[in-house]
Amino acid sequence: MSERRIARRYVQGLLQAVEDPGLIDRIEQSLLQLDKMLRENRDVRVFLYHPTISRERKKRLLHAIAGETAPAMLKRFYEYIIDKKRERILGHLAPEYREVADGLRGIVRARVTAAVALVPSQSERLQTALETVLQKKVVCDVQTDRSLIGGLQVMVGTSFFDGTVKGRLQRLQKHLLEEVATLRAAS
Amino acid sequence: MELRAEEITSVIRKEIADYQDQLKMESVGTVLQVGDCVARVYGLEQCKSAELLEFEGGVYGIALNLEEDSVGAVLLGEANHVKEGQIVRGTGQIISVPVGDGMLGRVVNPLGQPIDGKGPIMTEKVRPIEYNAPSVVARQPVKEPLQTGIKAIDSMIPIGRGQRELIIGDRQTGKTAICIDTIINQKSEYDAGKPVYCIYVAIGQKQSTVLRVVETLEKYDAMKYTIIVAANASDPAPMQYIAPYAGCAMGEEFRDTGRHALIIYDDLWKHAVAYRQVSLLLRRPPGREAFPGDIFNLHSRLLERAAKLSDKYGGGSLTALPIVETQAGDFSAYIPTNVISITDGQIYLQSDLFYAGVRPAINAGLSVSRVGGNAQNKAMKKVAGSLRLDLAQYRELEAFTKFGSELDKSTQAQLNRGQRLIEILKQGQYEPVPVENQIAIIFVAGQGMLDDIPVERVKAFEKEFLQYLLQRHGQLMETLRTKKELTSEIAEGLKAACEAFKKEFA
Repeated sequence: MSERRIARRYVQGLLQAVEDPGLIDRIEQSLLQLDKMLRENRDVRVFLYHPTISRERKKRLLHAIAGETAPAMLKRFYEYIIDKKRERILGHLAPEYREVADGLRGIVRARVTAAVALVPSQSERLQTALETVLQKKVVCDVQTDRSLIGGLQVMVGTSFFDGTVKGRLQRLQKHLLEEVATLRAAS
Repeated sequence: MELRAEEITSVIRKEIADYQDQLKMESVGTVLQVGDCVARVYGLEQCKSAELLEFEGGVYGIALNLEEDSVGAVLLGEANHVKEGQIVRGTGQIISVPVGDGMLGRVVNPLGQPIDGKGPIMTEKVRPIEYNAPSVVARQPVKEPLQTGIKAIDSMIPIGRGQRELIIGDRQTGKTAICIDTIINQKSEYDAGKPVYCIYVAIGQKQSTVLRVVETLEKYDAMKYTIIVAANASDPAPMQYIAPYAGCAMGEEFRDTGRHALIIYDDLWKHAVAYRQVSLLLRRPPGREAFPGDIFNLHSRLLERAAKLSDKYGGGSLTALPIVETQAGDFSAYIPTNVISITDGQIYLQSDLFYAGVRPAINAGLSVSRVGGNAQNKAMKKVAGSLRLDLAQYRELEAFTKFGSELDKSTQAQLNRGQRLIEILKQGQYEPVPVENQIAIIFVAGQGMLDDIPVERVKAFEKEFLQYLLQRHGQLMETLRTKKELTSEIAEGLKAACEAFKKEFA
């Protein structure tokens, strides 16, 4: 938890230093790449988090992951993190960066889970509907999950909207059980 | 009443037809981390302290720590079903338990669910487990006695309805036995149509111990006015933590409906240990003996709910008998001193007395009852006054007997008296004595009428004398019971009866 909070501080600092809006997107791509690397490759994770491996070697690895073309700003950011011995926040950088950057761009990200893949016209309608409700520009990340049976659910920040058949059935079940309990108590 | 199948179908059909699902945005949280029955939840911005949270898969939790962007919650139930990333919903309620007469005779867990295999519990009402204690205006001083049926307690450490009397002692000194005897003794009240409902809260005990309590109560026909709330040693710590509050909510229902109830917390030391575990897992800072800072408040807000309500509020009462187990006689440890300072008196049980054959092993010198005296009936008050004094003098002189030195007549007499009084106060387990019998025997012993009976025969004398009184002087005992006063006539009657019986008793 605290790592997440620390990551947020660092990311806010980075974004304040970045002035060129084009750079914001480029750094985001790089960070997402690092995030993917950390999640999928155990060796990278162990190497970076290992306390006895020297800072120089860690920096070299991060440079290599970022690649030749990476912005100099990002490389300096990585070096700073390593020097501050905050390797542990590397895994939290990408999601936090995204959230802060989204805030700067004035958009909110909605996590949409649908029972079946949405056709373009549907996702457009969903997007406009969400935008009118939230009064903000919305970007949807759409996933599919067949176990929902039908409908879709949307999560924006900590707000949750459940319009799936599965959720409705669960609520109906709960409602009926409550009714049975009150009937029993009355009898 | 059995519900018929077609009735159920029609009800369900109607419900489904009328069912309207309200779709709306709700504020939820996601599980960040879970383990050791504690979960950390991100989000839940509108969450209130002590709110009941609903996890996926029907597991519930209580929000205890509200932090900047996360909530620390304890899980009630199977923590294995809760996984990282699951959605958590707030319910906007405090956890409630079913209460009412339907609970009587049942063994339930701290959520009020039956665990005795006797089918579902039929109650209409529920009550939140955390509830404000009655205010000053809603109360009145303790004025009715709660008879435990134990001579040493009813005479010297009387307990009144609405009082909080701590029972404290090492393991194996008979703490639970006193409480079970007290529950059994309430049977006469129940049979007389003025029941004192009993709630026994077992916290962190072995299942076999709880089972033995249930069997004992069933054997003495005491379960019909008793509820047992059990959070066993194998239950997760949060369940043990809420158990006394759940039991208290059930007792409050009787209190607030103008009836009398007795609640036994067995024991609060284990409760404190369970809460310490939960607190440390929630990363609250540890204090003395690693207990959290609010452990005093935890117990005082629980025990404050025991009260005698004023007549305007129905005049009901909730008497609490908390038990605290001490470790190796250390009465000055953190939890014992805390609870001593909260309660209206304490009953000290000591293992050396227990092994010396003084059972119940009550240390009359250290035990006190701060408010019970007001509730004691007049006859008992009269005989108990001299009993206290005689015993105190006996304890002072007792040391001399060990020197084997020559003693003058009056000292010898005092020692004799003391030995017999100690003998009178001994009592077997599950043998509560009606209050009039207690008065009779303590009265004659206090008058020195047993001084010429050999110490080892005092027990037998008591037993036969009480039988004799019941058979030959039923009228006398009846007046004593109803009048509750030791008039000179009754005193003379008792003396005469004792003289007459002593001739028969040889």
